[in-house]
Amino acid sequence: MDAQLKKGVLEMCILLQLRKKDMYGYEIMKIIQDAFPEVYDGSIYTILRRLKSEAYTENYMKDVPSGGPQRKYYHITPAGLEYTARMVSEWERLTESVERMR
Amino acid sequence: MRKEEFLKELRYSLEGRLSDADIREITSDYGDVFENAAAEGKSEQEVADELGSPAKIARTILEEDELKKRETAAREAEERARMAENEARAARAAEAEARAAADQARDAFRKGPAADARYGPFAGRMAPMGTRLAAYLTDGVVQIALLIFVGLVILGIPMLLSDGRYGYWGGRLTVYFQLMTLLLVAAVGCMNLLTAVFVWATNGYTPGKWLFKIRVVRLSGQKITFMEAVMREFLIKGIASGMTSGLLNLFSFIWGCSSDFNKTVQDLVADTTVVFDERRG
Repeated sequence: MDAQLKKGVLEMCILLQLRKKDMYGYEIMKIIQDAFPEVYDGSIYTILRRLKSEAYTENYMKDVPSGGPQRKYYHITPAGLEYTARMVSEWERLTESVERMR
Repeated sequence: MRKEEFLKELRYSLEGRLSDADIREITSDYGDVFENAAAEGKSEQEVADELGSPAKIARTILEEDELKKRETAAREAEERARMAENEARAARAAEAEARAAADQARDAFRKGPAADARYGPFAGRMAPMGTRLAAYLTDGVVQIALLIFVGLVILGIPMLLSDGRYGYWGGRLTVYFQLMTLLLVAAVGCMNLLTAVFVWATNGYTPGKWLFKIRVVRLSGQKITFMEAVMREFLIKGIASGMTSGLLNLFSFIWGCSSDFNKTVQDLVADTTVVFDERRG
């Protein structure tokens, strides 16, 4: 799968998950890993880093209920929500176009 | 590969390329992955296999970073270009504004306060010297046409009535012709007197000025007097200019082009100027 396309799709999927609720890194990673077992290559944190640097997400630390070290949670920002909506509509247009080609 | 080994390799691959704070954050994130996986009962080896090569992860992170830097640089360059363009546009606008203000100031200076309300009923735009010249030339044509007409009437009609037989009228017709020719020559000189009467009677018009919708006004705003009209049209434009072979009128035109209120010599004498007739547009 093309690297750019993969990156874009993973980015959109991560944001879609974060739109439902705040998550910590490993949680996001597991979900993505389950959904895309064949494309996963461990660089999910680079995408999370990018989303944070674009201010689409923000981090906060939260205690683990069962004790142990604090977890870093990701929360989607209003800019992130806007970006997600744009990505989704672009994705829909893209898949529509592809469908028409078949 | 164990956790510590994985994190060390990742750190080495990033060292010197990213800030220490970034590297600490990244290694901490991947450390979390190992811990969370351990809680699910996965071995460090299994997690490392799943994550793949730390060098590759580092490369992806660095590529991402480079891309981001380039994007930022491009955005900044674009922003700078836009700002420079805006500044240039503002400078151009300011320059145009300054030029317009300078033009206006020069015009105001050149036109003087004739367009000022202080000048009462004659507040109006100064007639350009070109328009005045055109009116002057038109008046010349009208005068010549009038002279030819009058000449034809006073000399031609008796000639026709005589039916070619000059003898019938004898010496009297010859005397008539001599007298009338003399009168006609005098009338040439008097044409400007006629114009003066016209200007006085119509309060500022000559036929040419009427045609070009301009008129003579007194700067004081009062109606032009008969003596002023005579001075302006007859003594200056007629007699004085005639005595200088028309050079006075030529000089007067040039002088009017550069003086305040576009005042020509005849305007100076009669304290008049020529403006657009606002009522006739």
